[in-house]
Parts: sequence; C-alpha cells; structure tokens
Amino acid sequence: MSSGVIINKPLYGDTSRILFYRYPRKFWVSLGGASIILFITLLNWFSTIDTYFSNETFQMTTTETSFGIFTAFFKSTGVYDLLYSRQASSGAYDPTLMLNIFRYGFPLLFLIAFAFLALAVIRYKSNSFIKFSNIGFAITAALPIVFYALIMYINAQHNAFLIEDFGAKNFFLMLINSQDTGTALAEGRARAYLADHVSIYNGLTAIPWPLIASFISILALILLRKDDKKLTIVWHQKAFFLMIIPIMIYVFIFSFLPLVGWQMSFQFFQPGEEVQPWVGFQHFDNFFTRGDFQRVMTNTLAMSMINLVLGFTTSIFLALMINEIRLKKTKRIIQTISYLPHFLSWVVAASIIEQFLMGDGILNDLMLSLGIWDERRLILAEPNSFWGMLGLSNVWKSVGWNTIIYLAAMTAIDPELYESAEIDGAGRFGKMFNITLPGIKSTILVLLIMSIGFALNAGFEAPLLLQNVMTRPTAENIDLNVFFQGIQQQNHSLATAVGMFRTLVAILLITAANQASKRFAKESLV
Amino acid sequence: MSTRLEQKSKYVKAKYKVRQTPGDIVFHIFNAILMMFLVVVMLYPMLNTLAISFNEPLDSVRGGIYLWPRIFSLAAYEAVFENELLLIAFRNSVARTIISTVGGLFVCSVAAYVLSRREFLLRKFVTIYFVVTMYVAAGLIPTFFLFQDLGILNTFHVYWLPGLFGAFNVIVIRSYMQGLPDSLVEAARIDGAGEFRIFLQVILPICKPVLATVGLWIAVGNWNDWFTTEVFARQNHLATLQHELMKLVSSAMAETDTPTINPGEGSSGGHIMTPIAMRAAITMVATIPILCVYPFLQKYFVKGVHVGSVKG
Repeated sequence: MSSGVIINKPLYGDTSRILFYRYPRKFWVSLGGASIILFITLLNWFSTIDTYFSNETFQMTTTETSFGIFTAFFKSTGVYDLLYSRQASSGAYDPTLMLNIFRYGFPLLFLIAFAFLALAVIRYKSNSFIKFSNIGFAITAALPIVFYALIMYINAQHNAFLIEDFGAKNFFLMLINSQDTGTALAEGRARAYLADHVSIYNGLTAIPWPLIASFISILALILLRKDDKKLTIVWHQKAFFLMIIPIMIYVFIFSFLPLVGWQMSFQFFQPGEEVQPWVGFQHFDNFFTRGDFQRVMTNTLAMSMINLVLGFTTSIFLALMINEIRLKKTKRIIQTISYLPHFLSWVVAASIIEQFLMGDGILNDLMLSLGIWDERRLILAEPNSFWGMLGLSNVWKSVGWNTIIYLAAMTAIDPELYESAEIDGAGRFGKMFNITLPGIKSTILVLLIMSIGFALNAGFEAPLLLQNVMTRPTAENIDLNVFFQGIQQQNHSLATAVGMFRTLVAILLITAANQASKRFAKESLV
Repeated sequence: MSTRLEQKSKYVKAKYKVRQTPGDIVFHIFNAILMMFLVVVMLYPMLNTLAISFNEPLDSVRGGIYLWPRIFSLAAYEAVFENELLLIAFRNSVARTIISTVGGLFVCSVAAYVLSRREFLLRKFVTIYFVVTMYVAAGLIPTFFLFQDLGILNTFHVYWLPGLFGAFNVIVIRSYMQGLPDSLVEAARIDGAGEFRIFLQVILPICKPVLATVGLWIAVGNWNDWFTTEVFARQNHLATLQHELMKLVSSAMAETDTPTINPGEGSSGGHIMTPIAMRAAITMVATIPILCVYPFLQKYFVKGVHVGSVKG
C-alpha cells in the first residue's frame, strides 16, 4: 500500500493551531466512542419513552402441529429440546429455556463486554488527559451495559419478559413497566399505538444500538491502542471517509437492514401485531413437506437447466458464426440488431411473444402452411410446452447480448495462432475447434460455473408474465412461489422462509462454484 | 506497430481471397442464411407489432397482418394519448428514469472513485461490504416491510431511492478508474485540489465511456421496471408505462388468447378500440424512447463494456 504522498508530509505547518492536534489522538477516540454511546442511549430513551404503556407478557400461542424433517432433525440433535422444551401435559411450546437463555445469556454477554472494556482501559498508558478520558469513556460506555443487566434482572424477577425486548429500545421503560402491571385502558392505547407504529424493524430501534456502539468503540480502542499512525491516515483521508460513509449507511439500510426481517420466517408473522409468536422451524417444515415443494423445485431446476443448456449452446454457436463474418459493417449491423431484444422489457417481450404464439398468430400460420401441425395450437395454454417456450423466449431475448463476452474473448486470441494453423493445413472448422474454442474456454468455464451457482434463480419476470392459470402447475418456480405466497396470499412468514431458504442455498452454491472456479479455471469470480 | 498489424491483416485478407475453397463458399452461404434468419427473428416481432399498432383497431382482430398495416389508422395511438392514466404513467416513467440515472450514476461513481484509490485505508473492507450485497438479498417480504417502515411505500420515492446504489455498477466503474494513470490524481493534488474536486473535475470527465454504459444500464432497468409499481406503488398517480402494459398483457394472457372484441374498452374517433391494437400501441410507446437513447450511447457503450469486462 503506497500511502506516502498524503501521510508523511506535514500538510499543516503549525499543527498546534489545529484543535485536533492539540490533544492526543486517543482522546478523540475515547471522546467519539463515549459520545456515540451517550447519544444513542439518550436517543433510545427519549424516542421510546411514550411507546410502552402496558406490560405484555410473552406467550407462545402456536401449538405444535407438524413434525417435518427439520423438527425431526433438531429433536434428534437435542437442540430442539434445549430451545423448546415441551410440556408433556398441555402439548404447547414452553419457551422456558429459550427465555432463560435471553435472561441470563445477555447479561453475561454484557459483563464480558464490560470486562473487555475495562481491559482496554487498563492497558492504556501515558498522560493524565488520556486517563481522564478513559474514565469518562468507561463510565459512559458502561452505563447502557449496567442498565441492560439491571433490566434483565428485574424482568427475570417479574417474569414479564418480552422476547423482542432484548432490543435496545426499551431497556429503560421496561423498568417502569415491571412496576406498573398495566390497566386495560393502557393496554388498549398501547395496542392502538403499536398497531400504527411498530413492526419488525421498530423504526430501526429494534436493534441493540448501544450494544453495537459499545462493541465498535471497544474494537476501535483495541485496534488503535498501539497504532497512532492509522488514525493519522484516517484524518488525512477524511475526504474519502466523508464520501464513502453516507453510501455505506445507505447500503446498510437498504441491503443489510432487511435481513432483520428474516426473523419472520421463525415467527407467525401478522402485520400490525406487536408480539409475533415464535414457531421455530414450522414454516420450513410446512414448505418441505407439503405437496408444492416437489413441484416448485422440479420447475425451478428444470427451467434453470433448460436456460443453461439452451443459453450456452446458442450464444457460443452464434458468437462463432458472427466471428466468421468477414465484412466489418455487416458484422456490426448484425450485432446491433441481435442486441435489440435485450433492451426490451419482459413486459414488452411477453406481449410480443404472446402476439407471436396466438391462436391466429404467425407461428400457427407458418406451422399450418408447412403442414407440421394439423390444427391451431394455443401454446400459452399448454402446461407441457411451458418450459420449452420459456427457454426459447429467453434465448430470443438474450442470445445476442450474451455473444458480447465471447466475441470480446475471441478478439483477445493471438491472430498468429490462426496463421500458423493455416500453414499447418487446418481448415475452417479445424481452426474453430482447435483455436477459437480453446481460446474462449476459460470464459465459458467461468460463466458456466457462475450459472450453476445461480441454479435456483430460474427467473422471475419471464415466467410470471408468460404463465396463466392453465400453465401455472409447470410455471411456478421458487420466485413465483414467494410472490404468490407473500404478496397475493399475505402469507408473509412462509414466503420469507422460502425466500431465505433460496438465498442460503444460492450463497452455498455460489461459494462452491467460486471455489471450483478458483481450482479448475484458476480464476475467481469475486 | 499499428502499420505492421495493418499490413499483416491485409496480407491475411489477400491470402483468404486466394484460398476460397468451395467448402468456404458453402459455409459463407450457410452463415449468411443463418444471419438472415437471426435478423428476421429479432426484427420481425417488433415490425409486426409496429404494423398492428398502425392498423385499424377492429380490423387487427381478424389477424393476418404481417409487416404492413392493412388499413392505416392512428386510432390506437390517439386512444393511448387520450388516456389520462397512460399520460401520467408516461410522465412517471420518464421522471423516475431520469432521476435514478443521474442519482445512481453519481452515487456509484463516488463509491467507485473512493474504492479506486489505492491509498484508501478501508478499501478492502468496503469492497467486500459492497460485493456482499450482490449475493445476499433479504427477499421480497422483508424489503416490503422495510419500505413500509421507511415510509416510502406508495410514494414516488420508492422508484428512485432504493436503487441508487448498485454493487456491480460500482465494480465496473471502479475497474475503469483503476485503469487511469495515477499521475492525473497526483498532479491535481499537487495543484492543490481537494479530493472531491479531483473527482468532479479530473476523473469524471474522462470516465465518459463507462458512465455512458452504466447510465444506459440503469436507465434501461428503470424504464423497463414494472414490478416496483406492482408491489410497492399500487396507486393510480404512481402508474408507470410498463406496469400499465403489463396489466393489459396479463389480462389478455388470462383469456388464453381468444380474439375477442371488447367494446367496453372505449372508442376513439369513431373507432372501436380492441385490446390487441391498444397493446401494440402501448408496446411501441413503451419501447421507442429507450431504443432512441441506445444509438447515441453505442459508441461509448462498446468501449465501456469492453474495458469493464477486461479489467473486471
């Protein structure tokens, strides 16, 4: 890493004029960490003080109804019994152990955090400034932790623990709640308020921010303990940080925060309810054991296999053929035309495809006049033709675009190879098979491995727009299933579980594919 | 160097001309037929839809229109431009495309610039942080509730705000920026320019090819998007062109294409409007604007993709 230009030169002549340089850098770290924690603690306190009126007790309402493979698996490992020890008499979930984990596990966690903090503070050396700031830092950082421990303790005493409330938002209010048992009126008000305001994200306050801030500060302290130079770099690169931090926050909100919603797949989620009952792996069980799963999975795999095989063969073939065109201008024009469908939306493409396949459309006219079909067929209403129709539609839309990457790879092949092959007497096909194809082999391999990584992504827009009630049995893949379940039937938890399953399998596949690509093609995708 | 290469290619060409065997000729004829087939397959559906859109609506139902309208008429287009909802949809589509493209390009290129500077302390961490978003997606339902909590559900913001950042776009722009000489930035630094000024006045102007490429991707993606409207903005004043077209297509699809005349669709200028004509006209209105942008950007486009794919 070359960082010479900006770091080593004294950009500012008299550094003592600048506030930052007047104090040791550790002072600023401590101050920053402390103020972050203080700020967030106060924010949480003030923003949530009016939201909790009543004393909600945690209840498991859902009874155990299914014994799918997940339940069976977890029962066999013993983890299940640890988390959901079942009461023999009532048949309902008894979350005692789960609660105990939250009750005593979290305070333990905070104590460990506090120990770390103390350690970091003790290991600080040097002058009085730092000592002062360390004490201030320690006190402010410890405050939320102490509060947490206190609340947890009190709630454990009162047996009034909200499972959602290990989030930061109410550690102070639960203290009040635990003393006030709550009247029916207060409860009604709370319900009305929560129905409007609270959902899984709780307006970003469901996350234990003080805890995260404490950990980040501790981490910063440990990391920067010896290394003053890094902080200097940070200071000199403040422009970079100013540019990138808002973007990182944005990415956090839109890409990482929704992951909190994955908890829905372990709940019986109903929008507007303040307490979502936990149901363990019930939704996964339902998805894997009900009749849909096999059909949906078959459709998904079949569609992606057809897309894979058709897509690869056609685009490689087309790239080879386009490469053989000698006239530069013709080649250009043909390439441009072949890109055209790529720029159409799937809606437009579906409209065009439908026009094409209609009962009195051009395909029927053609097939009848050639005598291949005996009567007019409605392809879009035939479940058995759906996969093939979808595959060909995909080819039509993307084949031209997919040739770009192969053609780019072909231009990188050394022309002298062709010349020497010619001298050796190779014909057109000899050159094609012995030079061009091996030349783009690594490109093909990387793309192929990457597509296998996306085996469960069988497309969403295309099948959704091309399917109808008649073809749905063969058209419904995982993405469509999520859409139908989640949006149309309002079965949020199940849809989230299915989506989560898909994402996790996809990550697994992609990671495996990346490893394979590293090993076999000596090229990494990431 | 270049002259040598030219000479060589001339030489190769000359040799090819001499050594045209009958097999080669057969191959070229076959290739020409294949390419003609390709051009027909790619162009015909568009031209056919164009012909239908200009045909007399009631007459279109009879079918048998191929490349040229049988009875020329502008009734379908008149119906499209008289429909207030479609005008709103057109306005929304244009607005969201422009806002997302400009905003998205800015955000992505800022991120790409920072990541392209080798001295940036957190370069590796931030790169991984961004790349992870390409692979880990929370899914439809959590996203829905996130938008609800952020208060952008059923507002215009849902069209541009969530899509400003794209990890893949950042990587492509970053690769291009990494290919630029470092001395540019260093020279500007010596002249006393701040980082943001270097980015705006030195780096951005020479990144035109890749910006055009990525800009086209963002624009096409936004213009062609109907799903956001379907799930996150189900209100008439937020309609988009593609979504309106989608409604027509899927309603026609549900009928499993029995050609029916639907007098309820409304009439325009004495013509009875039919779904098939209406759909063709909207298809054209929804397609032509984006196809008009493409040729202007194409010269940058190939360059940008090329560099992006080589370095990426």
